[in-house]
Amino acid sequence: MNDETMLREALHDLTFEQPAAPVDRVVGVRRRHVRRRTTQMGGVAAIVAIVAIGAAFIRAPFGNDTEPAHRDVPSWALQWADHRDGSVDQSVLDGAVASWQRFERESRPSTVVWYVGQTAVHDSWVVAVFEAETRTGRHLVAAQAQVGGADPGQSVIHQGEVGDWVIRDAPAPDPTRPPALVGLNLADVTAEGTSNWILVLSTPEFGFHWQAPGSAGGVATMKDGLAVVDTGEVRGQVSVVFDTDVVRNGPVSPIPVAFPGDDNSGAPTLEPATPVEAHGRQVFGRIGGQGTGALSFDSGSSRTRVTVLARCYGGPGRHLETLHLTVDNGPFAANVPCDDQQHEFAGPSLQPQADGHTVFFTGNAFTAFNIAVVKGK
Amino acid sequence: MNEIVVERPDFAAFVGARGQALQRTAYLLTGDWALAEDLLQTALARVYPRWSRIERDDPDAYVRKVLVNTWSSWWRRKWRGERPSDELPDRPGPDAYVDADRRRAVAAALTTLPPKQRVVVVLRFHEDMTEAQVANVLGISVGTVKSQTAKALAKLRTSDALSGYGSTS
Repeated sequence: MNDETMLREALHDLTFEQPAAPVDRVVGVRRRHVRRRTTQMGGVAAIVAIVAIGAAFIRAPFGNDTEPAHRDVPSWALQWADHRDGSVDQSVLDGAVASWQRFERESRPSTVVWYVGQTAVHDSWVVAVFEAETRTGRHLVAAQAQVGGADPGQSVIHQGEVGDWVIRDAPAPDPTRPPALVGLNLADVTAEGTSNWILVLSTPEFGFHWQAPGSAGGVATMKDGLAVVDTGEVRGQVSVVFDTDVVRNGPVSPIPVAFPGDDNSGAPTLEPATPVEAHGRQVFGRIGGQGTGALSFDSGSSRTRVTVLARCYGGPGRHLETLHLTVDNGPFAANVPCDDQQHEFAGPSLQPQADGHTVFFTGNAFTAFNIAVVKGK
Repeated sequence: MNEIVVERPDFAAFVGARGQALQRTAYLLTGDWALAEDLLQTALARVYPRWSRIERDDPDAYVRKVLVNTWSSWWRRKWRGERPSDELPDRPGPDAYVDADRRRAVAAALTTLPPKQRVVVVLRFHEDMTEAQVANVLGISVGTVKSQTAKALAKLRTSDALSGYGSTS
């Protein structure tokens, strides 16, 4: 028996004691998917990239050449400046392109036009914005990844020091009618709380002020069409108002910080909803977050009636949002008004289950919630 | 009754049919069943939103690729704190615990392999993939697959971890 055959046998043997499949594997996957989406939509602080009309540059894909601000670009590309500032090694940025290819199952781009490549949010994020031309079309792409392996204060982020890329992709906009802004939201969530940033790219050298529910707002200046602003803790969508109109002949009005064509990208990480009060009742489970999610809990060894406590706030518009609740996909259902008040719902009487029970809730990405399941009425 | 999450019955069927096999692969990469489940669920969560596109092609290959890439990113970030063991257990003896002992020896030997060698070994000899398939999954050349395989086999041979196999068959 040769080494390869023995190795096959050994690897097979090694997995002999495989545990039984968890009964809630698919539920677990969905839960992670929801968490991941929440992070993608809001967890990334308010980096708003407003891309400037101006000079741009062309770079061959996966090359290392950088260009001056004034550069020739293909006619289909936005005439915006190159804001790569050297804080991120080009191999990392090329990794963003490669990740986008895999993510969208795209072919290798024939042309990549770079707009942004830098660290942000106290160097905890790497941000890349570029346009790419492939066989299937032309794309505007924003990618962001958390820095995971760099030393504090490290001047340049190298390959292998960033986590997975969060990708946003849109058809390349018409350069003769560029978007008012290309925006991303980033967040830094620490034990001290949540802080958001916006990175703004737009027509160059405009001043603007930003505003968001729960925050006083502030004033910022763009540098060659780029600005990064710390907006702190917010309770709703961040918008910017330019000192002059960026859309030719258009009005000066608030523009949501978001990636073109992706409304959910405008959801920043919201200030957590105030925790619900259980008032001494036994708590089976508790969860806080925003958007849509699920809470798994164990109601004990005997048949038990449960009560759902819920509180939420937010929503992008002026109308009152609601959070929709169900338990175990059973007949129980409730709609929680997102008025930042605590609401109680008498839930079903639950039989013990080996894999527990789950409260599912669906809400707008701009709503924050806190939910608990308690024993009894 | 409203559903909270969009149902994807084919996805659930895929997880039911292939979940255990994928978990075994994840275990051989991580060396820990709990981490393996974590890795598998993370990988599945990444493919879940794109399932309608993936299932038309070769979902098994795609999920396996995501699984391997996810593990690679974990390892690169060193978030999992894995420490290769320099000391291998004694060579298993002919006692009642021989099976468990030799499994431990193989598991320990696997942890001494550099990550790329380990993943090549798992894909080649557990997943029974060809060198070209492994090269495609890992985004490396077939030559690199061959050289990494040879180095891994040499190291495993030196560790004596495979000595409990073959003679008993």
